[in-house]
Amino acid sequence: MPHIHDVGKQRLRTLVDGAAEAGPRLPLVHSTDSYVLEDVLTAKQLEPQPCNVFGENLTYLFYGRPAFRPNNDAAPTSLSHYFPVCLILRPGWAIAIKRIYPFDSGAFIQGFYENYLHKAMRLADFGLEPDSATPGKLIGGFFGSVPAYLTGKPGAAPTLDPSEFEAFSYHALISAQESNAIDSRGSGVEIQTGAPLPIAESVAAVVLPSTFADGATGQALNALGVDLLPYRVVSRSRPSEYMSMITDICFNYYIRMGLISEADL
Amino acid sequence: MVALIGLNSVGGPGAGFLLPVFAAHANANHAFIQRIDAQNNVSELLPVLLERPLPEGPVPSLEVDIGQPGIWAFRDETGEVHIGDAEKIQHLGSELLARGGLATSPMAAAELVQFCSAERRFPSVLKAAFAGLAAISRAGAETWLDTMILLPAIKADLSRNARSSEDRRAIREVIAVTQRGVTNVYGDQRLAGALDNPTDWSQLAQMFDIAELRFHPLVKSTGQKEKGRPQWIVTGIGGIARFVLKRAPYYAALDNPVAPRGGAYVKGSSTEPRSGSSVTPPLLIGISGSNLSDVQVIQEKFAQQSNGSEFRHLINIRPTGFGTPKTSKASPQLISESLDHFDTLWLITAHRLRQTGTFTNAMSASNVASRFVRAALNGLIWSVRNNDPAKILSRKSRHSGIGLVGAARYIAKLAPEEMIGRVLYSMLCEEAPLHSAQRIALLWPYTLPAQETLRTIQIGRHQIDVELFPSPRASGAPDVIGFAMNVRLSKRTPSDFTDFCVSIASGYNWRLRDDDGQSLIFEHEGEAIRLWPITEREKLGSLVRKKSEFGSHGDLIVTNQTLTDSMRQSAKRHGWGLAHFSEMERWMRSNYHAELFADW
Repeated sequence: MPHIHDVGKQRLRTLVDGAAEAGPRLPLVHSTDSYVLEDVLTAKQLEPQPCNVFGENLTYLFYGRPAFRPNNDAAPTSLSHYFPVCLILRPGWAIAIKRIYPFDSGAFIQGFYENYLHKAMRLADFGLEPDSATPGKLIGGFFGSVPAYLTGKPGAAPTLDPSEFEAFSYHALISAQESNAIDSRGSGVEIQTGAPLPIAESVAAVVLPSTFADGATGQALNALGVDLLPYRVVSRSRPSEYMSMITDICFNYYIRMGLISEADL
Repeated sequence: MVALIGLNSVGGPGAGFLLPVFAAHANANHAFIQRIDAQNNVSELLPVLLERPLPEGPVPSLEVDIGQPGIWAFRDETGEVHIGDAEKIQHLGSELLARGGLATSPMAAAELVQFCSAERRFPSVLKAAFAGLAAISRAGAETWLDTMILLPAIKADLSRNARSSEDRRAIREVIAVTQRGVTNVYGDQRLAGALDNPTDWSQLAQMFDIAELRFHPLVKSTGQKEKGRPQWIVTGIGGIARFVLKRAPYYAALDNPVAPRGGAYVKGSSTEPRSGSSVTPPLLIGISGSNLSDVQVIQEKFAQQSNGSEFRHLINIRPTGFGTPKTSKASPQLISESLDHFDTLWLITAHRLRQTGTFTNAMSASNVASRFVRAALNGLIWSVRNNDPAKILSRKSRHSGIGLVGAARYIAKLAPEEMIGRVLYSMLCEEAPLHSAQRIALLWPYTLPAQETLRTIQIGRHQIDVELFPSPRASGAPDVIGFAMNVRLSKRTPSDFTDFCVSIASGYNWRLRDDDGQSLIFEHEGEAIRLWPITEREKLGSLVRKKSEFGSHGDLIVTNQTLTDSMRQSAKRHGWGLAHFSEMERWMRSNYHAELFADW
């Protein structure tokens, strides 16, 4: 029997599927916390975790952007979220995609987006084609370019048929200025997988608090061939600096690794 | 108020900053962590869930509240944890770094260097951190250097040339990538030229043998034009208005054709007001001195900008010259009567308590006045953007009200009563007594418990009620800004002046002990002075020819009249202290080393 979140209107899915894919393709990013990172390094792979919303074991990833969602069940105010860790997957790592949503589905379920949506809209109405080209198509249709997506700056509203209710709502959501209410998750493309991720093979880099770099964690990541991208811990007490800091790190790393070229900017 | 209950380790047992965790009481369900602003004060206490017990270990008995200095914790390589405010940790950190106490924790050392703003003092620490990171992750080290070290310096260099809110938005989005000895900076084309002299970047780049910085302008991909009317417009005339408006946070272009001749013009964003504030009409603010011709120009500009629905406020800088104002300077009453459909005439007067008669200090009076003009602007604009919670902008009647504005830099270590006293002191005005205000509202830069928003403060002879309104700002130094609404104009009687002198003396913590109708006796820390408030020229001339009883340190004549050399010489011969009321600061400083408590 299909899950309730998998059966919905197809308007947005069809619209996005028909859009031109904006390149280059970005790596997938998984956000977790310091405690889980230690477990992952011990197990040397990231295992899908039970998810109450979908009733199955899943790993949540975001397309290119470090949207912070350490695990689906934890409250957003838990202490472990305070110093997030972001795993950047190797570009082109073939992953078995279960679902794609244009935003964080957990935030949708918790009602964070309700100001932008019709009350009759369901999560399933925003489900997109589970294909590796889909995020780029969504970006092409709504953001115009990959840098615009990375910095959360959507383009002008696309010309749409008035019946494209979900597309209008999505554009309103990603254009919202109330960053505190929905933070980066409103415009980060979510990708779900049920497959484990072997760290050495699938992870290119880890964004993590600088204090990890001095200790055994740094050595363990080095042994796995994973780049360390440390951020300043003290900045975490100054959120105005902090939110852009991790995005800056990812952006810099993508350019440095040749994933984004000067011509893409 | 919450108490420290533990310290959360961010990454393993090594050296580095720890996260202080607080609770309202020992068995509380919720814990809190601090959000600390750029001034190192707690701007917010965020509730958090503790999923795991905090690491065991004794923590000192420390409490913190919003608006107070934030608490930081740093663990050194010996495992010793240092806890205290930023100043203390910076002091300890500098000592630790100077003796090489973090040699095996290069990233923790680098973080401490940045916390202490000591990059130039400890270049070897940054280089060691880079080398240590490069040994395990070359790309990671290069990204760290770009994003954690160079990019903040580049943004600081750019910020020095920022001229508008659009510039500052563009600066936030700048990207820097260093490759092959060149730092490539990608940013909005509006920033082209703003990195011609990147001093902050240069100092750091030299440490890492980076020779060149190249700016690559990016064409803005989306141009979402703002619609609607500006939420606020400021039109100013005169040097002080130009000085204030061309600097942060306004960055007015002085060659704007809309500006009056010799003035400046700046407008706010035309984006919609914040949620729930759509009912607040736009705000027109004028800034002028006391020449009626300038006030008339502001009126004309308002007529051009108005459709009749706006709030209209005029900030009037009272004369900055020494002593009694020239007759060409209009009184508040004259200005008020000349205003057509204005809501409030705000008087800036703090500088009139700080004049000493020399050219240098006349410049200083202008400088002081400019700070209060900026504070008044900040407060009025904050009000219109936030639906005027303190009812500062509200219309009164057909006639404009007269108000006083004061301000003081927020100092977290001071008790609220003293902070409030400082603000009130800066609102003392010979022409309009502060205690006559219908209401006094203070915009407080941090949130406050509801029970602490009403206060009564003694200034001189008067118990003054004030209402505090939290007005957190996203950026900039936190100030407390006061607005006294609907004050009455002084009748300028001798008793009004006496009352004014008592209030001034209270600013130096002199307490009134006796008033015999002619003189006032004040005492402070075992010392006493007798103060003679004089408003009549003849009486002044007569008094300085009599012999003083207590000498020039004990008998002080204070007047609002212009003092001539012959008066001063006569006073000196007869053993009097003699001061215009604006000279009290100098007199107190030289005779009693008493600092004005409201110094800003």
